Amino acid sequence: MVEHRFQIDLRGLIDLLSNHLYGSPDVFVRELLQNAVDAHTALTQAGLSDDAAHVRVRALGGGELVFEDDGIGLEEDEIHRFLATIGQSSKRAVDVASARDFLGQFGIGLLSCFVVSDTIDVRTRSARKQDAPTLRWLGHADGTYAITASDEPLARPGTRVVLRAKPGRIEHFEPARVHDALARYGSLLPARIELTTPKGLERVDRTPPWRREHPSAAARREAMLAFGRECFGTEFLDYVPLESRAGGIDGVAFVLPHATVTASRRADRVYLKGMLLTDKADELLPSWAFFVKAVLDVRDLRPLASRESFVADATLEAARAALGHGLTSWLRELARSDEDRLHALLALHHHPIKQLAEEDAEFLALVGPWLPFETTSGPMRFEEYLAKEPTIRYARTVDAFRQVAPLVAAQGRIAINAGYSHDHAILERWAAMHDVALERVDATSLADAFADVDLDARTHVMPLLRVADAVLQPFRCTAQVKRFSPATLPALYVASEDTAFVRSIERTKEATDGLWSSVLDDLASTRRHAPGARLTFNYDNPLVLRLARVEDRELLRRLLEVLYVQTLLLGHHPLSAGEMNLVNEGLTGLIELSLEGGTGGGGRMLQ
Amino acid sequence: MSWREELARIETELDRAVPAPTRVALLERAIDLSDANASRDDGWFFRLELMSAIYHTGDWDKLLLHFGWCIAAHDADPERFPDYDLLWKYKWVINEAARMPQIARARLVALVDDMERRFRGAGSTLRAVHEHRAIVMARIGERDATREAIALWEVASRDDLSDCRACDPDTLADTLHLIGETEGAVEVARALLASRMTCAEIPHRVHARLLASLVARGEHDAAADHHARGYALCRRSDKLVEAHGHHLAHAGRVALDDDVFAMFERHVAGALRYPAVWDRMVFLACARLAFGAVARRRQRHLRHGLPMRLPDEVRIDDRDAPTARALAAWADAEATALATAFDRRNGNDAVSRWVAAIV
Repeated sequence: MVEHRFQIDLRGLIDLLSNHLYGSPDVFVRELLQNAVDAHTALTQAGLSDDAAHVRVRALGGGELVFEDDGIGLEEDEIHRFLATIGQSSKRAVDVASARDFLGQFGIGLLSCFVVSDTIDVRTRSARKQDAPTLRWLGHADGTYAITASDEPLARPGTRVVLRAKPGRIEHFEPARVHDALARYGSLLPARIELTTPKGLERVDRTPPWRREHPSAAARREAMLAFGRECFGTEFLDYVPLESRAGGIDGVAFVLPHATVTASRRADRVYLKGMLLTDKADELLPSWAFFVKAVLDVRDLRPLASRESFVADATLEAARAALGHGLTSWLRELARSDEDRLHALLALHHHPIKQLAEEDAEFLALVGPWLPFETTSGPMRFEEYLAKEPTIRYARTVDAFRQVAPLVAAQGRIAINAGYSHDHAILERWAAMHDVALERVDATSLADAFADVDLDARTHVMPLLRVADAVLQPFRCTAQVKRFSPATLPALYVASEDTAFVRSIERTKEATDGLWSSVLDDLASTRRHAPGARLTFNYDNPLVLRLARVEDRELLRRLLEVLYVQTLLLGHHPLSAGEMNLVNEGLTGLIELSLEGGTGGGGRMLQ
Repeated sequence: MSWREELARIETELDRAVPAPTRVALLERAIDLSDANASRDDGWFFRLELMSAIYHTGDWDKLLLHFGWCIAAHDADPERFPDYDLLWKYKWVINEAARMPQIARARLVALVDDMERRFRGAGSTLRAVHEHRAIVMARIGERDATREAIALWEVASRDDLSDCRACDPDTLADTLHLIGETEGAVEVARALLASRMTCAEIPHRVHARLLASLVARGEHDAAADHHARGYALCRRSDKLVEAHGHHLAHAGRVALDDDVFAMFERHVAGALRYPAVWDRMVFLACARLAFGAVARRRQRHLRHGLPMRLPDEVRIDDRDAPTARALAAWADAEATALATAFDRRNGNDAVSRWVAAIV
């Protein structure tokens, strides 16, 4: 049997990698930087250097790019083994600890150069031996390469890589583009990175502001916010320095100047040992922290093969917890020392803050008093509410709130609108924690709590109620009478959530037919058992008292038809077709009666 | 303030970043105002927005209600009220209607047929139709019909109306799970997770559904990993009631007894309120399993360490400090009652048997 070898089409492989593994075509800049930094790390580990890495890049235009480092360089057998073997890496050191020092764990990095260049021209001189020869490795995109003795020896040990742009890729070699790529990927690297362009020599690496000394707190704040502006183009509200032992992480979170929602995905900028990993990290901060955007440098988390996110292991979770803790500590400190800033923050970001408060009892205990709520007396902070009301009264849905608001106000009380996502959970927790009474209010319970009328009054209004029941019966509503304020309100329409839903269904059914009418019937079937709506007449209202004296049943019927619909309209309940008909019939009937009646009994009652 | 002014205020509010339940409340108000003032164009517009917001809150009964209005508006005036957006949402409608036992079996079948008719009218590839026929057949306990629909679904080509590449396999895994093809379901789920594709609720639901199978196969480490990652993703969502249930069941299976009580307390209110009864049924069956396991570990008198806050609907003795056994019994009764409701709808006992097998 003859053994064959798989023919690997290098071009095809590179194509595949560049489409599926590398995030963007300028990833080669990152790979070259990585190799340069790693080469220096190897030098340090071999005990041959104490200095920081020094990387020189030359982008003089004309489609040529030169990367030069003063790292450990390569000997001939190393070149064969590592540069040209996919997947193998000189950086797969024997012991795990030093392996962590190498950024590049995967040997496919150099292939990224073939995305933009047809040749990779490497001159390298090993530091392992004195007077080591300078070797030249010239690799081609078709998979062939040659190693020769270089006719341009390097003065010092290290490696120089020269790329020449493929047609169609020359823009990646423009000096401005190279500068941007170097700055994006490498500005935080622990290396001296110098770029020479036609404009001259420039240092690209920088110490990030959270690792620098600043003359004053104000200066630090200025520097941090400037950094945030530079990274994200945003004028942030504030900054929070962050740190985690787990994962070896440090950096800063910036507070967004605009409101956000939970659904939006995080997009933090994360560096791995100073090299940019991704601008779209979403695993490092807890999910409630959606009001900040972070820049973080990570030393000790394992990246995935694509080197664009991390392995989801226990260390990552511990890191996330620690970073979250950093944010909550900052919030606590703010609550203690700078209320104005906290209020500004809450005004903008109350959704995430409330979400956190719902989950974290201690945090709720701290910021609870400052949380903003909508109430029947306008927006107010929780502490203001608590000062005014011994009981926490709240409406469970926005609709319920709207219905109860005039009643509650008329009673001189205040209720909170807890119809928004976390509000009622927070109120419940607070009530439990502080042993405060909690009372859910809705129109039905309020109406039930209205004062009953005495026996005489009840007898007085019985005829009214009977006629009202007859008018209301087709609308699944019954009449009752109570006394309540405001006295100017003749009647109140109250429907449970189930009944309101059934009303909506019936209204919608007016437009549907066939299949969808049946679907809606099915939908309503579980709710029909709910008690119907109630029209509660107010015995304290003069109009009701006069209606109670109307003897002409026909007249009373018409009056009640109009009053019923008016009550619905005032409560902003949408009318069904039947109810719209009712008001027409009612008014027409009243007009006819008054025309007939002249100065008779019916006419008098209309004044 | 006139109604138009109020509508304008609502629209401004909606433009700001507001959480989904708030959007729903605002949009319902806008719809009421539009209807009260007979503005059909406004009613249409706000209903489409509302249905999109409902995707995040899970108020599925409202979805059906407003979808009904929209489909009727389209049928009455197709030029003015085009159906493209509705076709996409028809998928959600059918998926959720199948999970409500009050929607009759004949209705579900007719809805899929109606969906097919409209999709054909729109020139669609019908991939989504086959998918949803499979979903419906699985929930009404018709295994053979489900398998037929799956076969058609898998070969139909994709188009704009088909589910995305992440949601599709997740639905397939769920459907296979429903008809008892657990091995197939696990394979599909694992492949989906390996692909690292994400969507709004992928991989949240995938982790949850794998747990029982992994434990049954003895892959305890993998199960623990999926439990940790999956629960972190789903715990905060109001919609992922089924996933909450599966994680709760897992905690019970692997003797994380404190977690069983804590997770139940955290999620039961949401589960009891959730409009899709199916999900609630699964949650309750999982709670039965979890508390049953706790009770069997000779902890039948184990009460939660701290007083529990349980909603009124949890009708058991001593609600403030319930025993595992009492909770298991209550959950069992509730789950069985719901399964029976589905059986009545379906005209067979497929759902009861499926629920009983959640062990």
